Amino acid sequence: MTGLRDKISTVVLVPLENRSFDHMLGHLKYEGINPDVNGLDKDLGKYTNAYKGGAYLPFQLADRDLVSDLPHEWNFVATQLDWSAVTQQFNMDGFVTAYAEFTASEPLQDPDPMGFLSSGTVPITSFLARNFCVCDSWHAPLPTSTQPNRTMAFCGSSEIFDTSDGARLIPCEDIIFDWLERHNVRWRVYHDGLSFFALYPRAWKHLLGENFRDFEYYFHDMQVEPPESGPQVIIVEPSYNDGPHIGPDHPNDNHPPLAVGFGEEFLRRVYQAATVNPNRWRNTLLVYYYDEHGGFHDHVPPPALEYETRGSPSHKFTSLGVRIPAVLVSPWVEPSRVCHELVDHTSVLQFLAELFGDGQPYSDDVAHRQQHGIRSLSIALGDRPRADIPAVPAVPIQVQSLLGAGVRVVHQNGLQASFELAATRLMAAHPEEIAKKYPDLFHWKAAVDAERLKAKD
Amino acid sequence: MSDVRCDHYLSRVPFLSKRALAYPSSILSVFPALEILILSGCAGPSINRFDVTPQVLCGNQSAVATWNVNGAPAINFSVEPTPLASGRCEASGRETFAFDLVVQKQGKETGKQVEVVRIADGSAEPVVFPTSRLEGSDVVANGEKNPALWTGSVRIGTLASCQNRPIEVEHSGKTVLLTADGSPSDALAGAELTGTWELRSPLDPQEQANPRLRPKQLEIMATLRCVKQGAP
Repeated sequence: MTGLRDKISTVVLVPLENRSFDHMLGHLKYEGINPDVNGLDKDLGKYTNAYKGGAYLPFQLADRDLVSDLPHEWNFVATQLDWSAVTQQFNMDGFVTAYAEFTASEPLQDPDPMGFLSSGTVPITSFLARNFCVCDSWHAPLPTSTQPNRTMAFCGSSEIFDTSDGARLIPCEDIIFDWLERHNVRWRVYHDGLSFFALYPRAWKHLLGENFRDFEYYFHDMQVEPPESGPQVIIVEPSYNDGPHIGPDHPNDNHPPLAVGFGEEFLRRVYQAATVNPNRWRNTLLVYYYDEHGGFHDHVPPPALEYETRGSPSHKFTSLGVRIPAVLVSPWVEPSRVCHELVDHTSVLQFLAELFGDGQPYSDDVAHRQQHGIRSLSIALGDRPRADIPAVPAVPIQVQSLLGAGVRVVHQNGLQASFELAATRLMAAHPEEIAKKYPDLFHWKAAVDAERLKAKD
Repeated sequence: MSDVRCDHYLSRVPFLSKRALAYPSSILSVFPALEILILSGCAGPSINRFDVTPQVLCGNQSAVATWNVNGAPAINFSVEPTPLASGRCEASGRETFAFDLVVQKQGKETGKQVEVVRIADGSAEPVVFPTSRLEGSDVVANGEKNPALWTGSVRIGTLASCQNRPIEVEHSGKTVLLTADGSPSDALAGAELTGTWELRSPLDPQEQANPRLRPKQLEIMATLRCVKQGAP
C-alpha cells in the first residue's frame, strides 16, 4: 500500500464563499450525472419549505446577481435548520422563513435561497465533480457565518460565533501558518486583492512577507517551481466581494449576491495552474471547498456535534453547519468518486498533520472533533495514481456585470466593515510594506474618503 | 424624478418603463388600472420603501406600486418563467411577474424586487404548515395563510389531500375530512383562503415508532376562485 507521503507532496486549498452543496452540486443527481451523489432528487416536492402557508420548492436558478445577500448569521441558520419536536431532527425547511425575516419581504415564488444551479451554469465546478472526488458529507464546522467557520478552518477553533455586530478583527491563538512553520513546511498564499487573512492580526507578520504573493504569479510559479523547493501547502484566495475594491477588478469569491460566473472562471484558472506541471501534479491534492452555506437551501440535516466557542460571550452549538460543496482534485482519486464520509474544514488540518506532522494530532481541538467522527481527507485517496489529466472545458462563461459602480461607502454587513478596518489599520501600521504588497489600497482609500466627504456635503 | 435638490414628489404617472414597453399588451391585460405613487426623499441612493399591492391579483384586479427613494428611480417589469412541475402539491394556473426598482444616484445604484402573482378561477394553491405537535396518535400542523399576500377576494373552490394520507382540516369555523386518495371536497367552497388553518392526520404504526418517518409538514391543495372585494 502506498504511504500518504508518497502520494501527496503539494496541497492546494481553494476556499470560496457562501454556497450550499445542493445549490452548487445538487444537479449531479438531479440531472442524472452521478446518481451516487446525495444531491437533489427529481421529486423536488420532498424538499418543500413552508412559509406562512405557502410551499417553496428548489428551482433551477439562472446565473445572475441575486436580489441581495442571504441570511447566514447563527440565529438565521437555526431558523433554516428548523429543529422539530415532532420528527426529532432538523427539518431543513426554514430557509424561506429566514429569508423573509432577513429581507423584510413576502416571497411569492422562487426565492433565491431555494435556487440551485445546473451543470451548464457551473461548468467548471461540475467538470471537477465529474472527473474527481465529490465530498457529499462535508459540513461547515459551525452552523453560523463566514468568520467563525473560516477561523475553524485555519485556526482549528473559534472564539467568535456572532458576526452581526459590525467591524471586528478576529482572534486566533494558533493560525495555520504558525503550525506549518513549526513543522518546517514550506507554504504560500496567493491573494487577489486584500487577503482574508488581513482580518487576523495573528497573520499580519506573514501577510506582508514573501509567502503572500499576488494571484497573477500563481500559474507561472506552478509551472516552473520544482516540487522539491516550491511550497508544500498553497492557499489560493479569490477576490472577495466584501473586500476593498477599486477599478476593473471584479470579485470572484461567489459570495451572494454575486453571479457565479466570475468564480467559475477563477476556478478554471486555478485548475489550469495546478495541472500545468505534470511532474508536480502527480503528487498534488487540490481541495475546492466553501466556508459555509451562505443561506442557500440544503436538504441534509447536519449531524450532532457539540462545540462551545472560546470567547466571551461563548456560545454552545449542538451540531455541525449546513453541507458545503467540496471536491478533492488529484491524480489520487478516481473519476466520479463520491466520498460519503463525514468531514468538515478541520479535516484539512487533520490531513496536514498526517502528511507533514510528527505523529501528533494537529491540535487538541482538532483531535476532539476527530474522536467525534470527523474524518481526515486521506480517507478519499486511492492507492494508485491516474495518468490522465482531464482537460478543463473551454466554454465561454457569460456573466452580466455592472462596471463603474465605484467604491463602497456604506457597509451592508460586518464583513465589509471588518475588511475596511483591517485595511485601514494595516496601512497605518505598515505603510511602506502595504505600498509594496497592496498598492491599490491607497487608491481605494483615497476614493472612499473623497466619497464620504462628498456625501457629508 | 431626480432628487438632486431634495424635491419631494407625490404624483401619479402611467406605468411605462423601458422594459415594460416590451410587454405593452401584457401590462394592459394584467394591470388594467395600474398607477404608481412616487415619493422621493433626499438621502441616498436608497430605497426606503417599495411595495406593490396586492401581491396576489385575482382575475382582473389592479395593482398599485408605491415607493419612497433617494435617487432617480426606474422600474423594470418582467414575466418570470413557470416553474418546473415536479410534484403534485404544487401551485398551478398562476402567472408570476417581477417588479425591479432600481435607484441611481451619483453613479451608484441600488435595487429591490417585488414579485406579483396573477391567479384565475381554477388556479391551485397549496396550504402547507410545518408539523408542530402530537395529539394522541395524530400529528398536527397549523398557522395562518399569509394575510399580506392573500386577500378576501380569493376564495376556496375545493380542497384535497395531496400527501397520500387522510387530513382533517379546520378552517373558517368548519371541519372537513379529506381522504387519502386525493378526492376533492367542496365542503369549504366560498370560504376565504386567508385566515387560520389547522391540519391533523393520524400517524401509522411505523411513524409512531420512528419520529424520523413522521411528516415534516401537512399539505393540502386548494383550487381557487375570484370574487370582487366585499362580495359574500
